[in-house]
Amino acid sequence: MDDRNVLRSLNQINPENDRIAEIHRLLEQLGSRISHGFDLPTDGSEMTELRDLSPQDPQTVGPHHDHSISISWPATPTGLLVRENAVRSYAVAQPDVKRDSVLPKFQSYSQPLPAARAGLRAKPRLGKDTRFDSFKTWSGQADNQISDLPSLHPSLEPSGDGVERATPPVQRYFDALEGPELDILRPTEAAVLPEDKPWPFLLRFPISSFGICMGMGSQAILWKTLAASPATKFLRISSLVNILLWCTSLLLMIAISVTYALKAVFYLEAVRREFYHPVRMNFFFAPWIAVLFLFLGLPEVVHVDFHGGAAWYCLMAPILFLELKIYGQWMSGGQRRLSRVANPSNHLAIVGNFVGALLGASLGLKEGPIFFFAVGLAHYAVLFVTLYQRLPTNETLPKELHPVFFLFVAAPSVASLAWARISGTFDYVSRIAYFIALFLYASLAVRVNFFRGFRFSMAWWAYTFPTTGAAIATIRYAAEVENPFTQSLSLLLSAVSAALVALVMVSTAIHAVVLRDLFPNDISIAIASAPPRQGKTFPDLSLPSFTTTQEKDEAITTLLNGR
Amino acid sequence: MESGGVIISTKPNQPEPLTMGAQVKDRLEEPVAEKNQERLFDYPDPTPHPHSPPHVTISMPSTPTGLNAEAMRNGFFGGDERLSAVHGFRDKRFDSFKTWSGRLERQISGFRGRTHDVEDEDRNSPKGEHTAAPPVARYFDALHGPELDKLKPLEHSVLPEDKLWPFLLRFPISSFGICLGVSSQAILWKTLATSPPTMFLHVTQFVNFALWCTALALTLCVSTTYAMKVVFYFEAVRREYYHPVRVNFFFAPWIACLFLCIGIPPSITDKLPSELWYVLMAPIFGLELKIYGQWMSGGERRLSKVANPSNHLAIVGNFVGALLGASMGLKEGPIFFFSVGLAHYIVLFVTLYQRLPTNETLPKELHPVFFLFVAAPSVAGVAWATIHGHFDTVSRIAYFIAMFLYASLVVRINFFRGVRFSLAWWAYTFPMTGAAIATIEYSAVVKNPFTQVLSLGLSAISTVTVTALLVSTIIHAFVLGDLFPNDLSIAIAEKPPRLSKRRINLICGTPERKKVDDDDE
Repeated sequence: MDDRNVLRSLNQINPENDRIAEIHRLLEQLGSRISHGFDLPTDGSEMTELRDLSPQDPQTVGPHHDHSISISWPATPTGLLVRENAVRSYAVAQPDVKRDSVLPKFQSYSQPLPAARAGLRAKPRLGKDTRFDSFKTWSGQADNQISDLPSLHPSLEPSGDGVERATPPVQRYFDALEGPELDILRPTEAAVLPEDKPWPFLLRFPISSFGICMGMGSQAILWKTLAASPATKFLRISSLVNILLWCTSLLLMIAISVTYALKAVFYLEAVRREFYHPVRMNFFFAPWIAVLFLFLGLPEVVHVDFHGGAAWYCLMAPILFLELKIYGQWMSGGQRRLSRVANPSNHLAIVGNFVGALLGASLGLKEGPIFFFAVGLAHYAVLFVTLYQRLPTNETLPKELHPVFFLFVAAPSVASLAWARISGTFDYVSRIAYFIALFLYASLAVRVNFFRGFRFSMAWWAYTFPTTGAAIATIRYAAEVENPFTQSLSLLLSAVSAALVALVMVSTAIHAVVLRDLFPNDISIAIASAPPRQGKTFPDLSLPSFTTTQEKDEAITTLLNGR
Repeated sequence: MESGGVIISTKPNQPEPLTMGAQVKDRLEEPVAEKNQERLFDYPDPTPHPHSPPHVTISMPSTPTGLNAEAMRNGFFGGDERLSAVHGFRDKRFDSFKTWSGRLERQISGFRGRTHDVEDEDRNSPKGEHTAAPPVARYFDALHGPELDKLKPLEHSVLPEDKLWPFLLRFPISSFGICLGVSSQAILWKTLATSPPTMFLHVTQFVNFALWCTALALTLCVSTTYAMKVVFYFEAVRREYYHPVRVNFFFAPWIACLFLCIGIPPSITDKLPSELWYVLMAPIFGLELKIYGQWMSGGERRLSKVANPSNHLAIVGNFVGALLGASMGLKEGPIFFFSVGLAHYIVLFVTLYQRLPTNETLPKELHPVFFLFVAAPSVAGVAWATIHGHFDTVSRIAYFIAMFLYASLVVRINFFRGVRFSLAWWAYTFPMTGAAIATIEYSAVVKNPFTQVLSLGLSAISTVTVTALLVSTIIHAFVLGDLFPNDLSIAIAEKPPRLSKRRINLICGTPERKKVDDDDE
């Protein structure tokens, strides 16, 4: 092999220059300057022939354009599809080249270049863009389009576990995505939607937007409690704040629901893919929880008739069905068993029980709230233990701390409030739950340093409501145990929560108005149903973030040795 | 496939036992993912062994470890040759399981048809202990299925697979499940007859009486039979006791007795002597010390390895005992068992829900055994209500958990189809009965049309299920005659078949392969 040549050429890159650009250029050469017939071996004899094609004389090879560098990989058993694939991955990598014209020219799929991720070189297309048709509800040829986009032979498509062909099997989500919210495409993967231009707004509108409603709705409850609770009476907070916040969250709720309903109507496939996404699925609880929050934060001037709790049962029905579906998946094995998908965002699937129990109990109901409290308790115990264990099989659990961990605080703090409502007093059970929440809060707050350096996302809104919940629980506790410490604690926690929400609101505004990237392309719904042909054997070199020359050499050597 | 080189040829003119054919097919389909199949056959196989009963030839490239081929062939066919030899004589092949055969060890190794040299070599084997009961890892290696009751292909049984064993050897401990099912029905009908919310049905107490007598007769019958098994085939009982799933059924006799005490018709007696409770709880307590201790103390039987829904049988005894004790008027004893049950129930519940990958006995798919999930919380709800005096919030929490789990299983009822009937199913009916009883107790507190309809519905479901099982049992017993098939789970060899290491890895999976498989899933 020609390891040394490539290494040499890489070493000649001046470290003072822009290293990234250099490596990109070199990799581009690797990808494009290839002997004819490369990568198309069908049997062993051709492979040896290919080896002979690599340059024999190391002196002639340098970083210049004229010299061709050839890397030959061992023949793959799936060589039959190489030609098709080469086209596909190249088309993905360089979307400005027309696919048809690529075919005869490039026959290597050695390296999908990260150009597409930079997303700069796209040419605007003329006419109607059909690339989004596969996600449209009424495109009429959804299936056709989907199987067309990844240009796969139909027989090679994995059958998945019973779901329709178009939706990727759950394992694909784990394989193709990374990041704590499984929302970043792995470098070796290709999206079925164009990555280089912004998609239609509805396609980019994720279910996690309902987090805004949760954040604002919980603020409304907080200010209602601050205004009404005896422990914070001395602040003389006007109930106008509550009314204002409540109206805002109501408006937001309506706006977001309408938008998402439109998405469900026009891009059902996108909604379906979100529902099958192991992390996003939990956000399907968010709309219902947000509605519960709206009812909990109802200003005193507004009167709503609950028809003796019938409205409450209607609200809880969708939560119950979602729970039957999701908890059942945890238990009944398969790819979505809990030891695999456990992620702090699962708390969203739990906390709905406690919020529902709280609302139901404050409406004066008895049995229904206890039912949801019991279901929530049982599954919270399971989830809590599983998340704390950090099983090695747990593919979606973030390695590092992440704002999503604040969801840990949500369930116990809401549970304590709910139990206080059910039993009538803030008794020992409530206190146990409350103190658990407080400890978890403290345990995350002292690690606040670990939370820096994350890319803002809409999902952050969902992570503000636990702090609000903790503040409300503290106010409730301070009403029971009234002393300066508890009062200052409740003030402090309320301030933290309000400040956090304000901060997230400012970030949202900046991202929406100034940076205009509030709704980036939602890559997590655009993964291909089948893995790219190069699959796992292909090393990941698309992140040229080498800090030392040695590191770079190592990476290249690994690449050349084929791991 | 091509490169792996697998040729499976079936000789058509010889009678081929269907089951074996199915087993071989099983083996080929076993690695769930299609991808894995290719990899499976990349492993070269040492032994081209054309053997007679299954008539399946699997030929693979030879390996350097082909030395054992001869010994293995003996292992495989010794039994069959013997079969033809001993026709008409007393069948000595079951002696190793007999209590008084006196020559246990030699017989066992005799079954493998090894030469004496090989046998001696075995005795000096590094393990030293040459007891007849296989180590627990062998159960995991040699058996599969949700109840670990099917022999893996390529494993051979130490008892002849081709003929019916003596009845006692085929009589499994899970037969006590029948007692559980019928006696819990007796309790249900007692509750239906006496509970205020179902008074309007005017159920006569005679149903309870009849069911109770049936249950008593069945329990006596099954106990006597099993006692005879203990006496005559002690080795078989020991092997059942070491079986990771079967061991939980050793709680069944005692739970059945507790059920009989709870469901006793008021016409017979109203008050049982409290000594009876202590007598019944003592064996449960002893078994718990043994089994919970095994879970905790590591080794091959740690919980992360053996967790299986049938472990609920080991938990539910606590709650049933607490219920009986509290209804007898005892105070401290029931709370003791309730707390022990609660602590271990939480552990088991979390472990089962997590579905750890190390969990070798947990069925991949849903199976009737999952209904045991409903048992513990529903019985715990009633037990706490009896201890505490009324159906309070704690009882309700337990009861509602049971209801949610029940609903969560019922909506997946489609997954339960196509599972082979077995006697153990009886044990899975009592959770439904328990849920029905708990619902009746609950509707006594919260009396409204909804709860009354719910209690009626659940009682009907439980009765219908028991009836359906009864019919299946009768059909299997008298029409098909296969109610008690050969109990292969007790007949595994204590040593793996003499295969090359690679072959064993091929069947059982090495750690690395398992990891790869997991990744590929």
